[in-house]
Amino acid sequence: MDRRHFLKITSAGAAATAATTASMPLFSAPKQQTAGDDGLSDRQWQTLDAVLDHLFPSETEAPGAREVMAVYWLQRVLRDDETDEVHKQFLRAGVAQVDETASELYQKSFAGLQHEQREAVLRHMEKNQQQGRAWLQEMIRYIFEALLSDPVYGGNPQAVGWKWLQHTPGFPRPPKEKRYFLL
Amino acid sequence: MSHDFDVCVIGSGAGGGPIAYALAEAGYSVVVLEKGPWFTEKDYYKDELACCIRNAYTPDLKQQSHVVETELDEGGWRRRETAQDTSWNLWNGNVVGGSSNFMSGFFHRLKPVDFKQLSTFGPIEGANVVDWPISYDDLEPYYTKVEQVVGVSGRVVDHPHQEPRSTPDFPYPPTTEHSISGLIDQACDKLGIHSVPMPRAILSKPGLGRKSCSYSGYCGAFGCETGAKGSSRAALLNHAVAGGRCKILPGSQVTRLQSDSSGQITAVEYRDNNDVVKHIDAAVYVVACQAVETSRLLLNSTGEKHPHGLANNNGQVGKNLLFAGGGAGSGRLRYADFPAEKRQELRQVGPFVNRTIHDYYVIDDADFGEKQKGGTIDFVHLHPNPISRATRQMRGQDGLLWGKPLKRKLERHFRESSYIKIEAFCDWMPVDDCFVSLDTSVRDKWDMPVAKARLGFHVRNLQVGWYLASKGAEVLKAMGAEDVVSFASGSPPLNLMAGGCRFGDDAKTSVLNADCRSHDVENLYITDGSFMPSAGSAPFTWTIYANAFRVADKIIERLGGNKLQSQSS
Repeated sequence: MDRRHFLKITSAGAAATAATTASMPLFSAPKQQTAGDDGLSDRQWQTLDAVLDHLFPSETEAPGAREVMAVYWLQRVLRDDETDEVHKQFLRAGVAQVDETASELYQKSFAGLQHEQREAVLRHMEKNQQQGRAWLQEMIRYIFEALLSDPVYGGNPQAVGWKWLQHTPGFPRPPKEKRYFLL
Repeated sequence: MSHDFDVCVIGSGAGGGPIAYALAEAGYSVVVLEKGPWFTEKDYYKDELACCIRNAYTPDLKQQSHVVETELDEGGWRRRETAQDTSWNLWNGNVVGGSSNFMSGFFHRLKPVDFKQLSTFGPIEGANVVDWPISYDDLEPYYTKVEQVVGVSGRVVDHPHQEPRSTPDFPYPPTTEHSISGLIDQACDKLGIHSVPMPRAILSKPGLGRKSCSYSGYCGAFGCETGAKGSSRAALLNHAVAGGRCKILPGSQVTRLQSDSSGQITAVEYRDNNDVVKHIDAAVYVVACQAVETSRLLLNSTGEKHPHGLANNNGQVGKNLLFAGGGAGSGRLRYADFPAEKRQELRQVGPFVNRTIHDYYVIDDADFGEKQKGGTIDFVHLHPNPISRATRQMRGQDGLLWGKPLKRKLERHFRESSYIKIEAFCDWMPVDDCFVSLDTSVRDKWDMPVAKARLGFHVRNLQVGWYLASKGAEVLKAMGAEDVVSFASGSPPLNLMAGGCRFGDDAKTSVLNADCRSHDVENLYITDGSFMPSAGSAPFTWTIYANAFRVADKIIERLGGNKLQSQSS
């Protein structure tokens, strides 16, 4: 997808993103950096961004999915050659399911819905759809990865997640050249 | 007869390290084949993604998997292939030093009663309880050797279940203790039970060519960057290699042990780092790949005299697989319940809890039943990994939590309390329904059948596990902890495995003799936890280390004694 366009659509709620987006690495070793197709359309990325924002909203005193770069985290997972293809399909199918459900309930795309309507769509997925709960659970888990993993991986910018939760990280922390996929 | 090496060790963890160390020290040439890479202190960081989420220290399950079978409530077995169901991963650390790199190093000796459970308590229906072919006295010198060579820190205190020792105290003083330890001591005093300092395989001061612990607060599941943790790599293999007589070949996957018409092993067949098939021969072969993989290697190593797998002529290989049985629990110490100065102490990250209770090692409680084997109750910090802690918070009363309610719950969990955990260990009863075999359909990337582990358990595990965990919970309540829960589960902790090649005097019911040499194969020894015929009620590592040092002495004797000593005398 067009990265610049993507930046535009997410920058509205994310003052913290601009400084760190340029250096977002893929998870895999450089040789595998094919910048492969992530399999989602621009519109679907907007959907996913809206879902993550709903699951973990931005607040003045507490970072949300946007501040911790959760949507980029998902983009890297989907572009990573090391991610299992079955898992990628599961992640993409969930995004499609969100818009289908939004359209079924409100005849709109998810990103075009009000807060309460978004809540209703996601609760409907959780309660009534096979895989719906598992997909939402996985989205929250990925938000937590972006929130609480070492900043060297591109999420948790300036340790914003650790600071918020008063979490003391272990030491020594991994330097760039010792990220797990380079070991 | 000339060989490439005197001794070939397959697997570099707690079972292999002592063999390499002791044999090299006695002047013999040793080669250690390790399937994983050779990471050092310079590669280990406190990185939750590496250790625990993207699993950087274990094989890719798509290429090397297992099959597990768990019992269904309605009877029958549920089959899972770990390539698909990754939560049942049986790999525990495939790097030089094995999973000992990632242990917490909670070190417990077995006690004399563990060696004679059958004669002490009698048989248990549905369990294959036996006495060991050796006694505590046979192993005691080697427990002591581990204290000195691997480096164990601790403090001996007088209590009714203290096992006999040949030295008065540990060679290293206890590691620094957290404020919670004192709260446990007070609570135990109140309850009239004995709070015992838990020994750790962690150096509390520099020694043995290694640095002391740096108290980062992140220990178990992580590789140690100071070398203080007594992994097989840091404590044993580094010294063996430095001495010039031990060679480690990382990236070497052993696929078969080849045997001749007499039934003896003639060579190890392995794939090197570039997947090229190679062979090594030695006078003595030592297998120590961790229980499941050790049994699998033997079962895959058929030969003229071993049509059902090496050392398996009585069908015993893979049988009586063991795990650490037991229960668990936790409690919350709310900062608001403590005075201000105590709050700061409770918030401290780094020092260890290091407390254990042995009062129920034998349960003599009329309300519970006949006198029987119990176990240990360890108190530890909640594991600090934040992603996994956060992940456990997303479950709400009637569905998933998300949005602001989830964020408030995270704030409460992370900011307002310290957590203390109970880990209760009882014997995992050896049963017919817990064993390793070869799967008939799944193969690894070298086209070798993968191991299938059937994970049946005895109800006794649950009964004793519940008993111990609830005793631990009483301590937590007496400490003033809130939200105290305790439970037991039949689900095995996959990181604590043993058995499968039990030792014994009768070749019909055991794989190994008392020296851990195969009854069938004269030049084969097994020195990981596979030899254990019963689990004992504590983590296995100290016992594996000690037994491997004991077997090393048997091998040295067989090869003609200490070569260097006889030269110098």
